[in-house]
Amino acid sequence: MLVNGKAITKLQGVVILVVIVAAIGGVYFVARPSAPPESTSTTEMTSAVANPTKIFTTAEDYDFVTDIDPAYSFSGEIVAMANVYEGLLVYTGGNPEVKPSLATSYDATPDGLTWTFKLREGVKFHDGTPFNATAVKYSFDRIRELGAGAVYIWDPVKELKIIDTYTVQYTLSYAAPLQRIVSSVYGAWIYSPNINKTGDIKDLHDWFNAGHDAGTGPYMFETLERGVQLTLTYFGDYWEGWGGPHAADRIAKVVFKIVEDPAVRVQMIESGSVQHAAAIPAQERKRIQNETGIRVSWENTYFSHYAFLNTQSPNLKDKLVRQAISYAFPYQDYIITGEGSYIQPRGAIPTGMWGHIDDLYQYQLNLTKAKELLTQAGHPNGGFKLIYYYISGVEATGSAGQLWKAELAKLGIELDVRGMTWPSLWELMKQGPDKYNYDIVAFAWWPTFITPYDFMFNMWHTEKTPLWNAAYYYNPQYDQLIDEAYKLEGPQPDQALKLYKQAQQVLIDDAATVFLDDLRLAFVMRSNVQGFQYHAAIGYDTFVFWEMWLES
Amino acid sequence: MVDLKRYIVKRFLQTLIIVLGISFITFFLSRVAPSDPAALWVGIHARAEQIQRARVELGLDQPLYVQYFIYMGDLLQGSWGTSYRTRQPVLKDLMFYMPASMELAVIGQIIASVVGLPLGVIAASKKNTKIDHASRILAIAGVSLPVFWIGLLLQIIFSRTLGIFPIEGRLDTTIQMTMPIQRITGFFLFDSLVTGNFVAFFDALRHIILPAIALSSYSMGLSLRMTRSSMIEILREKYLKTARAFGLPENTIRFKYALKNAIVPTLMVMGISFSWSLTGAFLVEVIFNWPGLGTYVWRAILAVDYPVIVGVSIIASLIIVIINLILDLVQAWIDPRVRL
Repeated sequence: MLVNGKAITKLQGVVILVVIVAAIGGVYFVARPSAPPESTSTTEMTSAVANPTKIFTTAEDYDFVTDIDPAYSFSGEIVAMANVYEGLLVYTGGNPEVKPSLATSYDATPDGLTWTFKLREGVKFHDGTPFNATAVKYSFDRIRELGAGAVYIWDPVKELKIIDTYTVQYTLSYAAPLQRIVSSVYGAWIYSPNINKTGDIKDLHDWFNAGHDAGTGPYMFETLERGVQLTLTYFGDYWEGWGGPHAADRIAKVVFKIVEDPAVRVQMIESGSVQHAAAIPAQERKRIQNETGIRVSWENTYFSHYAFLNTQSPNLKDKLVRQAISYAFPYQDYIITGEGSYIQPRGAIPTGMWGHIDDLYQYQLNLTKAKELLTQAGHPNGGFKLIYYYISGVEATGSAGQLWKAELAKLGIELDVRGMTWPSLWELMKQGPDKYNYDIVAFAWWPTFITPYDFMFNMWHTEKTPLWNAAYYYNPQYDQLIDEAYKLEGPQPDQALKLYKQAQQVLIDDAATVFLDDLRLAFVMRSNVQGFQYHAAIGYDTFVFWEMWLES
Repeated sequence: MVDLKRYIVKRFLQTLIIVLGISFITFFLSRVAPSDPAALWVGIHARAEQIQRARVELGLDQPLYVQYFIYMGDLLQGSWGTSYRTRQPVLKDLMFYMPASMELAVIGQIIASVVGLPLGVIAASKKNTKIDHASRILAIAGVSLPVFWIGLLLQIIFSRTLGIFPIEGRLDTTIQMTMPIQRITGFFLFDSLVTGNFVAFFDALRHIILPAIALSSYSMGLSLRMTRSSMIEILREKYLKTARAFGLPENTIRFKYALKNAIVPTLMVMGISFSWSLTGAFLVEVIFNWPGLGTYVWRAILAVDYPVIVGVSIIASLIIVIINLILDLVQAWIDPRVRL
């Protein structure tokens, strides 16, 4: 008994030790000053940024880093990549729609087949290599060779030639809007050709994804902890410099923290521990937007939600039924649920983007008209069931389904609203029209590069193998119109616009899709964030940190 | 000693069979959900030909049984595959997320033991008094209140209102930048302590307290109630009456003689809840933004990231088996009546 008693004595000892440590720790927490310790690494910074303590922290709502190799990058990491890499031109969303970046000017022949770009001199990559035509060719050749990411944006390019150190020339196999292609945020970044000069990096793709970069942008990757956070630090030799009236307050570092719980993001922005919090739920945003220290900026995006009507499904094969279904969606009620986040769309192209046409026909909620159409189609009292799929957790398409369901019930049509994870839903779509899986599928689209063709080709052009055409819409007239329009975008933009309009009219008349909303993004920030600037070409909330500063 | 060795070898062989079974079931079950990892691999908006090329590169064009044999072959050579979502080797990811989960689970378990065991003993000794009633309320609250609710409550009180503890994360961003912890084991408390980075140590401690309390609530409530009921049984035993007759102090009787016999079932329960908290602490991890295995596997499930789903299942089953083995050995060590 006494020998065994030692076990208890040990236990007691451990308990006492833990209590003592906990007590000491507790006393320390209460007694310690709350201010963070003095920075030890600030001395490493050059004088390029006057105040290296200006750190912008943003709480991102999901694990946004997939691939940070500039050739492969094709996902949410764009919010950081757009501050690390640059292309020849940059899309502004204004007039003119593109402005010089690594190219200072460009010129195209009247037939739109030859494009010459003058490159900027005096630009350095983060590894110190000077930027020139070799780098442009290297970046282009690498993505072509790899066939990675958004490589297909370069489909029209037959050849890229170096004319001299600071001039490159693209020859196209058919006319295409190259000024928009080179300003793409996917697949068009320029990076240093000297990364692997010594050949000691076995796999460049792995090297990039270990948290390295080779861009010319104002920021560089500093640390990457996948699933936790990504830190950027400023590039002292950035070609646009770090001066200006707010030099002392410019952002020296950016921390992207991944915080998946919206309640925590709300607490973080309210407490001031972050300067920006992404995807704050509408109700919470309303609650906090007038609090001291919080500011909300609204911006239009090229991110839109669509509900694709399966044109091959037994229920929706008839155009009249699809039109009836389109008249049964409560457009106004749905827009109200967005609390300012949704704009009523007109056609397939988002509001504000080139190719958006304001006077296109827009269906409205009209149950009388819907009933007439159903009667013509032989379903005066409805009497059938439709399956509606949306991506689980997406507030917009989820509520659209529920609102639609209520209206359709008045026509005697049952709408079965089902949520599903994106991978499974996509797989369902890809099984094609021969297998009846759904009547309606709702998801979002945003452009790879800024052209109506990106929307209109991917979502409704005839596909041999189903990939994105969720409506299984096959219309040769439509295909011809958009294919022709794309080729005219560069040399004859007005004519291209006319054709895009015609194609959208065909699409609307065929009622292949209900255009749910064009998204407005609410940037919820701390009020000391100044010079707010976002990247117009990107659907995600992407800041242009170089333009911004943090007021003291 | 020979018995012990034989017992451990026997359990080891059983473990191999379990892991093989788990890998087989998870591998095939995870592929039941309709999904195309190749499409996810090449990125959103990729073209059909890119997806097809990725399918071949990832070996997803092979029959399922061939994929399984390739996977197991790689596993035996130490390669756990590459995550489709993070593009990183699964083993590297596991080595990153697992220490965070382990650390949280260990601290949570310490809190549960420090609070649950003594309170259980006291509640049993002072049955039907105010202390007993209060401890019952505490235990029921711990077991029945959802951890996410406890977590949010802790955040509101201790972070937002009192400002004592941070809301989320493992380490303050500024400290991470200015005094980063040199990664040795991935246990921030341990690594910072052995490298003498005391500022980071106390910051890591401040960060772990609230999630650990939230995580410990269930285990604490359970151990409190189990200790109490076992103690009530034990306290009626004649040998304790004898001890009292000899005039031994009451605390010696309770904590030295009675608790030793009452603790075994509690230890079993705590061991199981520890295993659970490694992968099942997802809600706590999300609320406190704790980069643990629960979060990692949750993201993997949503992205249908097969190599991660199978990898985590194998590692979780290994941990459970090992903890159960340790518990059996401890039980035999504490209670001589137990034979291995």
